[in-house]
Amino acid sequence: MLFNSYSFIFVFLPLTVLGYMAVNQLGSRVASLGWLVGCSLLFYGVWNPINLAIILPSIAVNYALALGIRAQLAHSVPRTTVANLLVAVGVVANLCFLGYFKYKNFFLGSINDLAGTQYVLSSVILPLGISFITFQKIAFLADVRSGAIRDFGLFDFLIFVFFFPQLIAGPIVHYREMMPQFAQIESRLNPENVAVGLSIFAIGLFKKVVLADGIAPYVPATFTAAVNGEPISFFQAWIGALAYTFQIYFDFSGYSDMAIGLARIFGIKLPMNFNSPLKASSIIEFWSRWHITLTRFLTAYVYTPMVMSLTRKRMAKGLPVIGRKRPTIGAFITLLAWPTIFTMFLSGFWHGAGYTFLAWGILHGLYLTINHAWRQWRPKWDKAAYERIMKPVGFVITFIAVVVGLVLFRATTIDSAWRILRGMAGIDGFSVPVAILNRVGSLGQWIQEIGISGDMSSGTTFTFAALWIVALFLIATIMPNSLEIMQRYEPALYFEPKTKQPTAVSPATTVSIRRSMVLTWNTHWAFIMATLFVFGALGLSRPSEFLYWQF
Amino acid sequence: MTPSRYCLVFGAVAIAIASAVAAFNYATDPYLVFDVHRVAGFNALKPSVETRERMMKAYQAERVSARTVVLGSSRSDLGIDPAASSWPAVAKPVYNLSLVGATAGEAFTYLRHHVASRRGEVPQTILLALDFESFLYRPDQFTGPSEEVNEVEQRLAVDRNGTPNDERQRRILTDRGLALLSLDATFDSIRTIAGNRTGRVISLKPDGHMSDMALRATAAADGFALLFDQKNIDTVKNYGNPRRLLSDTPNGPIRRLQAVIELLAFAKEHRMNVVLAIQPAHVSRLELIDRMGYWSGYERWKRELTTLVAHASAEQQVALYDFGGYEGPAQEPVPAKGTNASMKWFWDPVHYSTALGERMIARMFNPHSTDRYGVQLTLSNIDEQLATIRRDRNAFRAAMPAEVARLTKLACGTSSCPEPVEPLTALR
Repeated sequence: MLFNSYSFIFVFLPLTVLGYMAVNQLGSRVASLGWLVGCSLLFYGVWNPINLAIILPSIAVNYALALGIRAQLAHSVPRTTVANLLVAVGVVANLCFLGYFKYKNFFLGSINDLAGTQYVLSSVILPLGISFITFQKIAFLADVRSGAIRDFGLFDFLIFVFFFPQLIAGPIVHYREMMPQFAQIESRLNPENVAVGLSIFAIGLFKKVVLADGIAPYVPATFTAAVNGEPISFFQAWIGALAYTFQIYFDFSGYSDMAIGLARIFGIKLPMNFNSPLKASSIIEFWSRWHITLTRFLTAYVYTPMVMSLTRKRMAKGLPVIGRKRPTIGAFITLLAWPTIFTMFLSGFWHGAGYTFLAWGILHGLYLTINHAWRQWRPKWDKAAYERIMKPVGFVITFIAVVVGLVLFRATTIDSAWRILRGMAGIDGFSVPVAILNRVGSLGQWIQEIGISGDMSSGTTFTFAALWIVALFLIATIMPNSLEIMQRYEPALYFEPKTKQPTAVSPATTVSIRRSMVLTWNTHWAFIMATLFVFGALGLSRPSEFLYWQF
Repeated sequence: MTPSRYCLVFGAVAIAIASAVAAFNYATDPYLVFDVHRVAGFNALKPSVETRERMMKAYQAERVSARTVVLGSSRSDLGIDPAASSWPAVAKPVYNLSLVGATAGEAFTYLRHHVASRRGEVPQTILLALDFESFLYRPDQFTGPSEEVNEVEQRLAVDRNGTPNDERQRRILTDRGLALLSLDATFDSIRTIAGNRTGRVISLKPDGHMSDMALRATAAADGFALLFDQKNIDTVKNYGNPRRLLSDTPNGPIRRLQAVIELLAFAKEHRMNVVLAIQPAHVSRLELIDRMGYWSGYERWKRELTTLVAHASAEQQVALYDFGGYEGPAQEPVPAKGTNASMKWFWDPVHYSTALGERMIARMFNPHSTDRYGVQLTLSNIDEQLATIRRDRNAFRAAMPAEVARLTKLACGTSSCPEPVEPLTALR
C-alpha cells in the first residue's frame, strides 16, 4: 500500500487510528501494539500476500538467531566465538536472502556477459522494502551481539521490523532507539503528537504528490533519448538531470516526512532522514544531510569497523595512521580513501543491481575522498574569509557533483549516462526550441549569434520544465525544510534546530523571517498545513510510485 | 491555540478548501463530465480536449443526436467541420466523433457507444476518415488492451463485444469524483478560464469539432515551415525504426482492416450508409511514405479497401473516396522560414484545413458539386487512379528536385533509401 493513495489516506489510516483508540480503551500496551502489528502486516501484505509469505520466515530465522546469540552471551563465561559464528551466519543468510531476490539476475547477467554463458534470467519477485528490512535485521543481530540490546521478545521484534510508517522505505531505524519509545507508548493518542504528525505528513504529501510528481514528466524524455542513442544537447541534458535531481529529492524526502509524521501520530519519533541536502556546501556535508539513516548505518557497520581494523593492522606494523597532524599519503589512501570508496561502492550496490548504481557509488566515494583530501591539505586561510568564499563555491561544486552523480543513478546503462554527461558538458551542442527563439524577439537573434541553435523540441515543455526547475531549486535551497518548520515540537530524533538556519544561497536571511517560518499552533499555520494536505490529496489520482520502492 | 483545536481547524479548513475546489471545478466543467452550460468568456472553450479527448467525447457522444457521424483521427477532427456549408440539409445535424490518434478499431468502439447511448436515434450516415499510417503497427507492439485503453473503454456504453458495459457506472462515478476533486481537474479548470480569456486555444465544440485556433496561433508565431519540419522529423522517427507492418506476412491479410469489415457489418445491421475517405496528405508526407519504403503498402491498402467496399456495396450503401494523391492541394507550397505567409489547405503535412475539408464534404455528399477534387474508387478505376498518382508524383519530382532531395535526405539520412516500388503491373 502506498502512502500517497486514496486507500491509505482515507481508509487504512483512519481505520488504524480509530482502531488504535478503541483498543487503547482496554488499557493494555500489548493490545495496542498488537493492533499496530496487525495493521502493519495488513499494510505490507495487502498488495501481494506473497510478500508476507517470503518475509515472515526470514523474520523467524533472524529472531531465532538473536535468541541464540543472547543465550551464548548469557553464560557465566560468555561464549563469544559461538555468538560471533551465529552473527556471521545471520549476516550471510540475510545477504543471501537479499542477493537472491534483488541481485540474482544481475549476477547471472554479468556472468553471461563475461563468460558467454547462457544462464536464463527469470523474473524474481522483489519483496517490498527488502533492502531496508534486511539492513534492520543485520543491525539488530549486530546490536544483540555487542550487548547493546539485551531485553527483547518476539512481539518487540515484530513491531520493530513491521511498524508500518518505516516498513517499506525507512528511515532505517535501530532497535535501541525504537523500543524504549514503544515501551513508553501512551495508551491514548496525544493531541500534540497527532497535530505534529498530521502537519509533517501534510508537508511530505505535498512534496511527493505536487512537487516530485509535478517535475517527474520532464525527466524521461532526456533519458529515453539517450537510451535511443540520440545526441543530447546542453539544455536538454541539464533539464533532464536537474528535473531528476529534484524529483528524487522531493520524492524520497517527502516519503520520509510522511513516515515521520505517521509514526508521530502514534507517539513514535523516527530519526531524521533528510535535512536540506541540496543546501550542502561540501559533499561530506551532503552525506550528513541526504538519506541520513543509510549513511549512519553504513558508517556504523561498514566504514568504522573497516577503518578500525585497518588502523590496528597499520599500528601493529608501525606504520603511520591518521591523527591530528596531516596524514601521510599512504595512511590517507589506506585508512580513508579505500574505506570510503568501498563503503560508497556498497551503497551503490545496495541501491540497485546494475552497473550504473555501482558507478554512482564509486563516483561518490571519489567525491568524498577528494573532499577529505581538500580538508587535510587545503591552504590554511583565515577562517572567516574561507567561509565567505568557499561556502558559495562549495555549494555550486557540490550541487553540480550531486546532479552529475544522479545522472548515473537514473540512467539504465552506462552508455546512456555518458551521452547525457556529454550533453551537460556541451559536447553535443547547444540548442533551444525554435518556438522560443521565435517568441523572444531580438533576443532570439542574439542567442543564435552566440552559437545556440534552434531545435524542433516543444517550446511549451521547455518553458514549463525551466519554470519547475527554478521553483524547486529555490524551495530546496532557500526555504526551511519540514523539520525546521516543525522545530518547536521535536519532530524527529537527532534533529537539532538552529536559531538561524544558514542557507548557501541566502546567508543573509534574517532570524525574524526564520521565526515566521516556524510552525506554532495557530489558525494561520492550520490553514497552510490544511492547504498543503488538500492539494497533496487532490494529486492522488495521478499515476505515481515512490522511486525508493525499488531499492 | 491548543493542539486539539489546531487539529479541528486543520480539518475544517481542509473540508472548506476541498468544497471550494469541487464547486469551482463543477462550474468550469473542463472535461464535459457534468454537461454544465457553456458561458462565453468563462468556460465555452474546452482546451482540455488536448489531453482528455477520449473521456470528453465519450460523455459528449451520449448526449448528442446526429444524422451524420464523422469518425477518424486528428486529421478529420480538425478538418471536417460539422458546421461546414457544403453538408447537404439531409445530412445535418453532423457530429464529429473523431479522436486524436484513433485507429479504425477505436473509431468503431466509439460508434457503438454512440449508437447504444442514443437508442432510437441511429445516425443515417457514417463518414469514416482513414489514415494509412493508422493501419501500420510495430512488430513488437503489445496487442492486448493496455491499462489506458481499459480505462477509456470502461466509459463506453458497450464493450468490445457489443454487450452492455458492467464497469461503466463505477467509471462514471470515478470520473465525476476526479473531475471535482483532483489536481489535474483544478489545473485544467484554471487553464479553461485562462484560455477562454485569450481565445487562442484548442477547443472541443458542442458538435465534436476540434477548433484550429491553437494551430492558427502557432502557425502565425512560428511559421508553417516549423510545423512541417517538426511533423516530418517525427514521421521519420516513428516510422523509420522499427519498421512498421501492414500485415504479419507480406501477402497476409491487412491486420487492422478487420475493424473496417466489422464496422461495415455493424452499419449494415443498423441500416446506416457508410462513406470511407482516404484523407489528404501533403506531398512532403507522401514523399516520406515512399522514401521510407511504404509506398507499395500504401497502394496495396487502397486496393484492398476498394475490393472490400466493392463487395460490401452489393448489400449496403457504401462508397470509398481517395483524397490521398498528389493532386492540387497536396502540392501547396510551404512558406519559407521567416515568412508570415499562410497556407490555405494544410496546417502541417497531415492536418488539413476546414477549407479542404469543405471540398471533401462537397465531393462526397453533394451530387451537384462541380469540384472534382478526390476520386471515388471502384474496382474499375483503381488501377488508373494509382497510375495517375504516380504520374503526378513524377511530375512533382521533376518540378521540385531540391525539395525532393531534402525530403529524401530526411527519410534516409546518409544511407541509401529503400528500392523504389515495383512497376505497377508486378503488383497485381
